[in-house]
Amino acid sequence: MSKIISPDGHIGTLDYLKSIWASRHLAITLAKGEIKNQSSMNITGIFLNIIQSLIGLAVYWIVFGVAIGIDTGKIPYPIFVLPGIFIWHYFSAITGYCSNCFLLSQILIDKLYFPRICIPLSKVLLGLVDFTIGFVLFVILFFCFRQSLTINWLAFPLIFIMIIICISSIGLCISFISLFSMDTTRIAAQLTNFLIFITPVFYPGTIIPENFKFILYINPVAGIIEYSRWSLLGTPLPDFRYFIGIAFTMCLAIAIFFIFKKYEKRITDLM
Amino acid sequence: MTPETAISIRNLSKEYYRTEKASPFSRKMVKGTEFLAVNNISIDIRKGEVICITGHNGSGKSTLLKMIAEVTLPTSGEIEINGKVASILEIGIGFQPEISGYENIFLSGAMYGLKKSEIEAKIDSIIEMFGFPEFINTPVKYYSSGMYMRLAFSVIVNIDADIYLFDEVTSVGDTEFRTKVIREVSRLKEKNATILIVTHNPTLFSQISDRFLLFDKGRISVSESPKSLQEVEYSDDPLHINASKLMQIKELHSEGIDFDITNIKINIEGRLDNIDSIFANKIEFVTEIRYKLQDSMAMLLTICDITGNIITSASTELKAGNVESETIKFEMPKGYLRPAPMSIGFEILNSDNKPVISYHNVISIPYDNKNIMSGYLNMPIKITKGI
Repeated sequence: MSKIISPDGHIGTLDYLKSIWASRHLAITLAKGEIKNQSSMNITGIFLNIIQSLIGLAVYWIVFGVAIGIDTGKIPYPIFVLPGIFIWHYFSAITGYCSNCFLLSQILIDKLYFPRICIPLSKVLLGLVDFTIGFVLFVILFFCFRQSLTINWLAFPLIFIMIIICISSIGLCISFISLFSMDTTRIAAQLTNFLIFITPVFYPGTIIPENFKFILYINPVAGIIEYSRWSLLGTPLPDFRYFIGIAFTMCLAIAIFFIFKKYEKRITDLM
Repeated sequence: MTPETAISIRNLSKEYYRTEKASPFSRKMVKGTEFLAVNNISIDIRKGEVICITGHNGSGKSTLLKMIAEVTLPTSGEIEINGKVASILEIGIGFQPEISGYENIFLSGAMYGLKKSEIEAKIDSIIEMFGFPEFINTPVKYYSSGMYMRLAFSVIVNIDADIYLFDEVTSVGDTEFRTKVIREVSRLKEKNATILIVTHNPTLFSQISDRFLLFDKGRISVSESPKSLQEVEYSDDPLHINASKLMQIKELHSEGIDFDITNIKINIEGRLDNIDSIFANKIEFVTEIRYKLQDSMAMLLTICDITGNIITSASTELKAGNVESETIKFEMPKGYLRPAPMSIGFEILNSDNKPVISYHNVISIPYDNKNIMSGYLNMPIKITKGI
């Protein structure tokens, strides 16, 4: 097994994919280690996440469902809002984790070589814990509110893959930008605080006037939330223009893969 | 690159730049002056060779290891590697403080590319090497730094690789830990692994190193293999260590000290049949020195154990002045030392007894596990038995 290390640091696309696949255990282990570390630090462990989700849900129900009275048709408001909440939380958690993941892993990066893309990817896996808790909570409430399953549920695995690709590409992009600017963490936090209001998390996308809908169409998270509701709750099939934002993040996923490939061996020096 | 070569380095350089503030009142950071951390080095390292790399802080030792480990890219030049590399540039990397030692073994193992099944197969040996099995289920945040290091090192030496890179592994831990490190490195050497060790204490690895590389301002001064008394085993001729070889192992701790050992002649009384009988003979070290000193200093002959601790020494004063040539003879009487792994060197001490020049490992007695438990001193301890 002979290998040459030269200044250009070139790595073939197939070799890069192979090295990421070979390092999948590392990404999983990094995520697992962090989960264990976090859960062992508090007594409530994983239950704290459930309690937080339930409190959040109760607050949104009172404010948007009862006080403002947002129309969700025949679907009870808590069931309607929950897919939006766990997808949004997943998105905001990933942007937060990825905005400083390289900085927090500096010692690791400086002392050991492995595909650097594994670090933000491990954060994507880490965020899946809360996503899964949210989804399980949704399923429980779904049956508690006596909702019936539709054939659209079969499409959810496909939508789930779409969620992972969209959110991973945004996370990877933020993590790469963070190599050049220390302000990325703050900017990402401010943007997610603002973006939640132009994303149909608490309300259905149909209540937005037609001349402002382009804001939702270019927002990839809006698309995946609306399609998730269609799949899980049987809401009408969303406008296909929601695919504009989703298609953009799909292209971003391919672009960021090649950017990481190009800068793979230079990331230590960029930090 | 021949099949016997493990690492071939050609014209390797690494350039960094100092980051500076644009102005004293600005937050903006700009690229400052450039400097070469590694400056155009070329070297071939054979399979199974143990290389000890030493030099001052910032001399480029760790940067070389980082480039071999692919952590950072060279600016120019090329490294060709033949075999799987395990780089241990920091002990305990990736450990999570809140989880147990047992769980951290799996975590750390995965960082170094070990599969779960591979770790499971070696778990008993890792815990045994760790030495504190009763603490294996305790979160590592409660470990002492020594225990932490032992656990991390136990994982590392169980990685199967052809080439091992160690950076300052002995900078922490007690004497027992350092001895353990040497034993493990020695075990890896027996498996024909190629090992590169960066250390500030080259004496530690003198018995197992095949070559010493002295780094200075990004360049290497390659020394020959450390002189071993084995080389005079079957010879009636005295062993000579000449000025050029001594210059290669000379380590200057302070600038402006004008002192050189120009020649060392080692006379062993009688003929040696084997290394075990070495101290059964009188040994003389005849040193030729030249110096120009402002203040008086001392020249110290040191005999060090495997961990670099001085077992015994002898010193003589060097008076201030300009001396072109002076001969100093150190005579070691027979019978006081046992044949055990040790190294012999020289130190030049200033008036505060601080070393200003070191000649590490001028000669070494080879590492031998069977002799280490007998100790170093041949003290006539009287033993009586009674019922």
